[in-house]
Amino acid sequence: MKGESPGGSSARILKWGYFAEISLESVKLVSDLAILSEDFTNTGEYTLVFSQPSTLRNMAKITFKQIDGSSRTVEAGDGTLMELALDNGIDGIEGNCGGVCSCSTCHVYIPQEWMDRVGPATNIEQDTLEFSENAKSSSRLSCQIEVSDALNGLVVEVAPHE
Amino acid sequence: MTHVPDPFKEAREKGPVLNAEIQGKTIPMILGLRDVRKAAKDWETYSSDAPRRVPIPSEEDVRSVRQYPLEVDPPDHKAYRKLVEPFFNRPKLPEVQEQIDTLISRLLTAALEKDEVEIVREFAIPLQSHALTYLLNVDEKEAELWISWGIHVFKEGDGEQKGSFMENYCREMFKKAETHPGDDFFSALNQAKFKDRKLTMEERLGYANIAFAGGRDTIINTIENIIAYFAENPKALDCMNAHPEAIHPAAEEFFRFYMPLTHIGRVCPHNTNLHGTEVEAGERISLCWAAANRDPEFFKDPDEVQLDRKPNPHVSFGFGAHNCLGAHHARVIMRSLIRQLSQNVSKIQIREEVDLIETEADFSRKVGYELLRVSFTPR
Ligand code: HEM
Ligand code: FES
Repeated sequence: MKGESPGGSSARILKWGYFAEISLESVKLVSDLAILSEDFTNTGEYTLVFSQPSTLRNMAKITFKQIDGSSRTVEAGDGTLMELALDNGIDGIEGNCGGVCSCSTCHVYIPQEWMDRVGPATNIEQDTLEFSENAKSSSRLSCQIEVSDALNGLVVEVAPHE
Repeated sequence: MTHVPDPFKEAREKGPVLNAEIQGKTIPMILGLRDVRKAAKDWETYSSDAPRRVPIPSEEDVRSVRQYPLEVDPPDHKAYRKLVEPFFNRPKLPEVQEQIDTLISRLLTAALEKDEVEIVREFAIPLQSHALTYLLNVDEKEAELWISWGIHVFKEGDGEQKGSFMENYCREMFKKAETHPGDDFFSALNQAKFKDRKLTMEERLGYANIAFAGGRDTIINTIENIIAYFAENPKALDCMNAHPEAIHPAAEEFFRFYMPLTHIGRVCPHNTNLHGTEVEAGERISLCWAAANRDPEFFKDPDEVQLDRKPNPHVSFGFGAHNCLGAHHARVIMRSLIRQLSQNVSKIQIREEVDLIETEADFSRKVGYELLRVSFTPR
């Protein structure tokens, strides 16, 4: 087992099937704190990347500018921006395809200054956006954006419906 | 074996289209994710205006009606679809989700009390049939009859006879709803108006037909595949139990990997060149969802089940105007199933299994089980 120093920000378990060699206890123990890296598939080794336990994490505050012009600021937990919007009843975000990047009913605009931190759309997301009449260079599908502390203070604009 | 191989792998490496022999005709199948999505959006070139010929194989022998809204093109499609949307959105209601939770809990408790359960007949079919009564908002007792229709209304046993039995049953349900209107699917369609006129009986039967036939084997097979997967990957059950937040992505990965509906057809109204294959006006092509779901350009290690796969832009519920109306229903069922299995079951052992294989001249593909006998160990 390799260890990496604390500081990673995401806790994500890759490849459920590969827990075979680890006792359930230890899975539970590390599960909040660790990711098992893909190395494990190839080498049998796994890497622990410590993240902040969720209880210690600052909750990111994210603002949605709704289509009618009103704004709502909500506290983000885990999951995607689309799920956050649905949980908080943000007007104009429907998430019809369940977050698999195929319906564009979670379309938002990201302010220029946030583009770097939010990151670019993947190819498949760009393809989906191409079908959307209201797509701009600042468009993203909010189901493809994972919420994290790094997004604290983000203001996104809900795109109008087609 | 739950590890369903991809029968389209070689063909996809060779080119974008597989010309497959189906029902004595050559049907070009579109294999790549990007191409399938493009074609699904392009209804003017690839039309759904083809009664009984959108499914592959076609259903000309087993039903007499056009299915609504599946077999209609825009712009009329939108108005047809709107009429039934309120029913298909019912699974978004907390009280309907609770009904589904309670149903699964009841079936699972019964299964845990027995030494062995035959998942297809004793679990998946009753689950699908009862859950459908909540969607259509009809008396739950109706499910008893539906259970007797088996895995697939048309494909199992004498499809022709069962198909017409189902049509007659639906006709009766519409008539009953005429004299005793309620808040159910049949009453709503009796009252519905399409462009200021009432729906014909043909149209109403067409809506009912897809609700019963389309939402049946797809749900049943997915339930079986999920249970078999957990039987072969017991640690995944533990992990789901420890990480309930992973249930949503896991459900999506099951939909991607075990896509029960291999493909669906479109008709080309004009002579069309499909990536080099000439399609004559009136002939069909296939949107192969199952192949698109394994496209290595978009899914890393596509033949592996990765329960936390993200992004997961699968097309198991289609793409574009006709995207599956039953998707909310399917998701609520599978998420509840995964959650309750992980909370209540520590181990699943397969005692006997018979695969359900879809076979055509150019490919064969496992879609589910004809029989799946298992034992559950409580957690
Ligand atoms: C895992 C389960 C399911 C899968 C994989 C599935 C798959 C699909 C796919 C791929 C389409 C697109 C067809 C096309 O583009 O021509 C579709 C459409 C449709 N599905 Fe599903 N389906 C499922 C469950 C259901 C259920 C439970 C129901 C109903 C109770 C249902 C009702 C429909 C209807 C009505 C349409 C036509 C929508 C339209 O034309 O606008 N489906 N389904
Ligand atoms: S929820 Fe459908 S594309 Fe984001």
